[in-house]
Amino acid sequence: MSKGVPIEEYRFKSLLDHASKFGALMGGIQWYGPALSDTLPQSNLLHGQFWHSTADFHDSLQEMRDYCRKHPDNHGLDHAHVYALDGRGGAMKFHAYLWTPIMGEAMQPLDYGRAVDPHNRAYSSCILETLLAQKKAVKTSTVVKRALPLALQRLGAGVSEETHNVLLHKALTVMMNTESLIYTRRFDSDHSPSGQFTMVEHLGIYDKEPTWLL
Amino acid sequence: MATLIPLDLAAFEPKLTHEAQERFDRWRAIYDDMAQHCRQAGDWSWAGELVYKVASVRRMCRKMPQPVSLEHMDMIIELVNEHHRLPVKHNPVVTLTA
Repeated sequence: MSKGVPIEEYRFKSLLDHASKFGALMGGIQWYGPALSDTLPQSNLLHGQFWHSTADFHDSLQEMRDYCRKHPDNHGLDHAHVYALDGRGGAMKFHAYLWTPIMGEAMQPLDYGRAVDPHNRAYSSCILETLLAQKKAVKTSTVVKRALPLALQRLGAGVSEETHNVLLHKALTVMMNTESLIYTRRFDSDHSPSGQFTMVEHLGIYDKEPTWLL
Repeated sequence: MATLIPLDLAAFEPKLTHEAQERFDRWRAIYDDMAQHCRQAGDWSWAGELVYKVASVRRMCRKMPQPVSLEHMDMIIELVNEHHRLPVKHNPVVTLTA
């Protein structure tokens, strides 16, 4: 961290793009204080910082752990979110963890792979469920094809499959452009009418193995 | 209880000789103190700047022959003091408390 810039969600997309473009490992830690309101655990962001290597990350966490140990009663820290964006080896991976001063030398993986659509939109939740069931990136058309049975089952009444298809496509496009963890890459293809196809994946499906820690 | 993954913080720690460690601890005491006061005053991002300055010594220690000797530690601290100037902060509360 060279500038005191808090990590904010709208910056997240550009961080992902950066990590993937340069094939780099980077990440951030967000330090949170005690919640200002019971229903909003993330309401008191104290500070955010980036790290650019695994050693950097360990340094930052160790400094904070030492500080919390020295001042156990009044350290003022509630919890921390750790993000890792791993673009090494040409494939993007995303990891998220929770750390609290009590945990000391351990942290808890956050399972983004079980995320739910916060707005509970009908077609978007079908798309999100399909994306989370993937193991790797697939074409956008494949996602829609796989989401169709879900849509038929939940929203099927009285509407043709074509309508569902169009609405699912629309929901997917919206999510690709708004959700930072839904990651897309475009490839040229002679077989596609538009000359390109898009591969899409939800980066939350990868947060099982913390390989970036090694 | 959710699963926890262990962190090996000690493995990433640069090795220092006893004298170098003492020198480092003596040098960083004031920054730790300032960081603590800043946090108590609610300015966590300024404390982050101070911690970053301390951590830059560690980062340089990793690139030195291990364990880092006192001469190398002096050199590193001199370099950090010279080049890592903390930007001026116009916050009277923090200036008074730190």
